[in-house]
Amino acid sequence: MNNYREDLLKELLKENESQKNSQDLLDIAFKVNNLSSIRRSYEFKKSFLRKLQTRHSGGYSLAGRLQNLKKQILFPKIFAISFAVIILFISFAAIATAQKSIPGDVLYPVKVMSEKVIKKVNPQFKEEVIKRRTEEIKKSTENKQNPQTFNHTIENYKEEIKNNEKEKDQRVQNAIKESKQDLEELKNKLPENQKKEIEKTIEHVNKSEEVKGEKVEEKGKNKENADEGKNDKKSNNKKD
Amino acid sequence: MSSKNDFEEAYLEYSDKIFRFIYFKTSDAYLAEDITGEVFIKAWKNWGKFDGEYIKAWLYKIANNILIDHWRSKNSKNSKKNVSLEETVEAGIEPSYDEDLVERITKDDNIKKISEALKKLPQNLKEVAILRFVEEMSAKEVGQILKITEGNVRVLQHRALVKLREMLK
Repeated sequence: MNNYREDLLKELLKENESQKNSQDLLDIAFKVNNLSSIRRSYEFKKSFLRKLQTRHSGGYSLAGRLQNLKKQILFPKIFAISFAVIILFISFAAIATAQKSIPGDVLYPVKVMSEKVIKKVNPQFKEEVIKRRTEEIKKSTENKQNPQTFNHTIENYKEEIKNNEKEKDQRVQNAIKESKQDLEELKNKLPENQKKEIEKTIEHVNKSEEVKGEKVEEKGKNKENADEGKNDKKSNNKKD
Repeated sequence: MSSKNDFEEAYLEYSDKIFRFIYFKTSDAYLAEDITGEVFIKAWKNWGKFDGEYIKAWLYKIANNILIDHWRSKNSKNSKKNVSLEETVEAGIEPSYDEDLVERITKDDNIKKISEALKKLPQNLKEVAILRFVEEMSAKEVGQILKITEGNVRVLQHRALVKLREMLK
């Protein structure tokens, strides 16, 4: 402090001020110096330092900053990837569990959706779907579901049969025949009302097969006619 | 000079100086604290790069730059925003204030009288007066911070004192 005072006095004297004037100005300088009493408390300053340390523990050095940068960039990515993996896992688990569901179960729509996707990728899966619809009818009778749900199960089966009316794959046809046999066996074990529903369903399958048969016949006839037409033309050309 | 302890020492030693420097230029204790915090967070982020010499000058330079940006954005017609505390926000630190100090500044008559007088000085004289008389820096240090010669500092400090004398009579 004394050095500062002396230095300042010397500097003021150099500015051609008299001793008295310089002393006067020095006093003003010290009045202004009182403003250095404006200080934040030690606790306040320590509190700021603690906050800084808590938020960024390694921030001082380059290694620390890199560590913080890593945290800022990497952790959100890791979180996002982990979240996506968990969602995927839950989805697969739900789909796997859904495969055993029957109409009325919460996951049944998931089963139907997944079947649609698999059929598109693997058309041979249609055979499996027919077996599943048949199995669902059996389970619904075993579980003694309410009439509404039982009817829903029957409707699903009929819809599947209708979807396969144009199906040429012999395996699918065989699967339909087998399902019909299963239903024939089943109906005799059921109470009257359910037995009637199963019989109607079997009728529906028969009609579907008839329609298919007619279409095959018609196709066959069309082909015969087309072939005859070709032969006539050839013989006419020869005569000419 | 890259250790945690060095930074803490620097903060404890210089943060009040930075606070006062900003306060006497703005007469706003809250703004002064916001900018002080911003200065030291910026300094802390770059502490590893800093070689340790002229730390005072470096801190004042950061403070001055932030203040200049603040005035620019304030003067801009389209901008209504306050000082940008991007470093503080990024660090996740909530601004806080020493309310006891704020009260003392506003209520102490002596402080008020001298602060008012300083406020009325032209910018160049005010800066020299703050650094030279409040912070007791040497003419050389003041010159480094304000980027003027020592000779200039002496001339300006003299003028500042003459004006202050008139105002404080």
